[in-house]
Amino acid sequence: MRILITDSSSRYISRALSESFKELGHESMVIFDDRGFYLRGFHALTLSPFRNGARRLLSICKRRTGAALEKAVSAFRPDAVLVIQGDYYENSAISRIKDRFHIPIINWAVHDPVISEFFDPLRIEHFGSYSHILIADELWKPCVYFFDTPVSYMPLAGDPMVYRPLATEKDIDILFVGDFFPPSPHGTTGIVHARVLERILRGGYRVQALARHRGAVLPFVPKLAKLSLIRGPRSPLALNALYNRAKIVLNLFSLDFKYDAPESLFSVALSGAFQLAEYKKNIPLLFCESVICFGSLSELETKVSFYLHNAAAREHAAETALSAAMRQHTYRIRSEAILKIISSHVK
Amino acid sequence: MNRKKILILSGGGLDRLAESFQLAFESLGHTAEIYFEDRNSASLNYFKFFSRTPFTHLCLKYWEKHKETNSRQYEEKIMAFRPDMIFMYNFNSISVRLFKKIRDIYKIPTAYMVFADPLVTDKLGSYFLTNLIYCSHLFFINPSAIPSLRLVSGASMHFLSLAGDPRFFKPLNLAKDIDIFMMGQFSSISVATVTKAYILDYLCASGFDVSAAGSGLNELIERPEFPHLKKLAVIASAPLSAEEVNILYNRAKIVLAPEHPRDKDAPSPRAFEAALAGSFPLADYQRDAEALFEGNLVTFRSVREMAKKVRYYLDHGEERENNAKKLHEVTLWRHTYLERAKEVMNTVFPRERTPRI
Repeated sequence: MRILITDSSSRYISRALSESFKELGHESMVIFDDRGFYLRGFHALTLSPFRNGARRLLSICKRRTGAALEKAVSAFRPDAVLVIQGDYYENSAISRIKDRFHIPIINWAVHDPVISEFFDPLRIEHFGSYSHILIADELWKPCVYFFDTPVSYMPLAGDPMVYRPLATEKDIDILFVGDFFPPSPHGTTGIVHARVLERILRGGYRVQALARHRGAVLPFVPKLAKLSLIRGPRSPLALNALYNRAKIVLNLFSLDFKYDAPESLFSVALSGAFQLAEYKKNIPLLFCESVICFGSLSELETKVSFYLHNAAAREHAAETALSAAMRQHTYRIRSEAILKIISSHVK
Repeated sequence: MNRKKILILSGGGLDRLAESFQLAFESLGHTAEIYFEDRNSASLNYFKFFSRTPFTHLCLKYWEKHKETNSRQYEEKIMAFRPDMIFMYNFNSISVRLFKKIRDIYKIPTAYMVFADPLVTDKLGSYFLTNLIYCSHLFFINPSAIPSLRLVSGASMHFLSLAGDPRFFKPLNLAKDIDIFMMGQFSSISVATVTKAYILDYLCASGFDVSAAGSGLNELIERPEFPHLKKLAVIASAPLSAEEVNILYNRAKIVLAPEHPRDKDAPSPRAFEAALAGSFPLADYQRDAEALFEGNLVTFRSVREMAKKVRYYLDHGEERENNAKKLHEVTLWRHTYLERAKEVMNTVFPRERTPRI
């Protein structure tokens, strides 16, 4: 089978999926449609007197992205197209490609579809043109299921070729990777994370963070001044090396995830590091209780204190989570599931 | 429960909700007053604009200063009224400093009714979040935000579903001369508007006689994305009073009540209103709806299923009427703002619980 992947969310997901498809004996090609920079600019302009011009530019941007996809399909002649998030495709482009080439186009929504409210509310309607919708969080279902399109729950996963245990010294007590003021609409996520870290810092723990925009939230969360910032790249390999240096990875998630978690849950598990993860309803089910979660700040403090001083308990939890992730949550396993869905659509 | 004084701070929003709560509190024997005195409200638009740019974080700083200015008159009001509880809904005008003062010095419980998921979808989410952190009680129409908010707020958090007001929405025994009706607000192109338009467009394309009312409809039907909306019967392209909406519900055989996609699992306010009007609401599936309406709310999981159910219930008038009657009874018994006011009071003052009337 030939599968074309197009990605507007995380380049790593599409690359990992593409490699997995190839390992499974299929042909795969990836194109990127990330025009987030322009989209954010147009979005800000829709609140200005230039709003009509901004909408027109947005429309042109989407038309070009759709044309690029059509061209790629025409050249590669895939049996199916997998769109990761797909923020920049109009439904007319998706419908046209489906009709012209008679192939299924599947969308994997890796962010809450209603977030398009911030950038491009009409986008929600585009979901109606796909052959199948995969959603990374079970609670997003009500946003898309009324379109006459099959919807399947497909949690995110990790890439074991990148995230893997390393024989490294554990010289970081608590590690946090994130952003205290991510771009809209995730500003609230950053503030929540800053407040969680504040509580840990108040307890006198040493926390190191690979995080941006601390200055933006310092007036509201002054304790963050005690945070040791790590400077360096955020590539998957660099992150894996960092995870492996940490006794505890404090894993806090983007707040659009309600029942499930983003890729970092699976990446940390695959790296063999011990993580304390923010509680989400489906995490215990996905990992058979092997990922240690916290649901309140007091629970977090108790668990930080316990696991920081109990290396054996930490290692046991990390090993169990690693084997659960290897068994069930790699992109290769997701690729197999996606191939089954594609087969059900290919006549 | 002893007689309490309740100050309702609300910047408006959902149709007359603050007024419904005020009357409900008063029906329970309490004194309630609605107060809203924002100054410089135009500056909110500037904050909205900057919150969409890379300078978002600067907004936080100046927004707090803006709230400091507004807080003065609210503090004066609190001092003069001396409330036993402050109830807030769609309100974001007092500073963190005043919140702390209310909590630590005046020792007044503050209850906030949270509509949109404050963590993700509110366009000014991060500013509302500051509010929520300092309230003593939070009531959510959709509980999915509670786990994350528990990480940053010590407030007591509860699920409090929407409801309807039987003063406005009641059976009128009118001729059912509208087949399918949707009431809504269509003036801004939001995710909610787009979903409503998609549903209406699908029904129009399927050949049904569909009517709708609400501001912005005349513009919406001209949009190229929804070509079949030209067949839609627009009853009014302007906001209507609750009394006018009730008449339309009573004239309709089927009232479409899709929920805002943001409020996952929470039924639409239109479902409560139409049920109280004795009409037949048809809603998209929401997990909470089953239990809230005791299995009487008819729902659909796709537009195709919706069209099938619309056809079925248009052809089976007796079954539709029987269902509407049952739904009306359940809603009148369980989902009025009087019931919600009791839940709020029983939660905030647990030692003085109001017995169920």
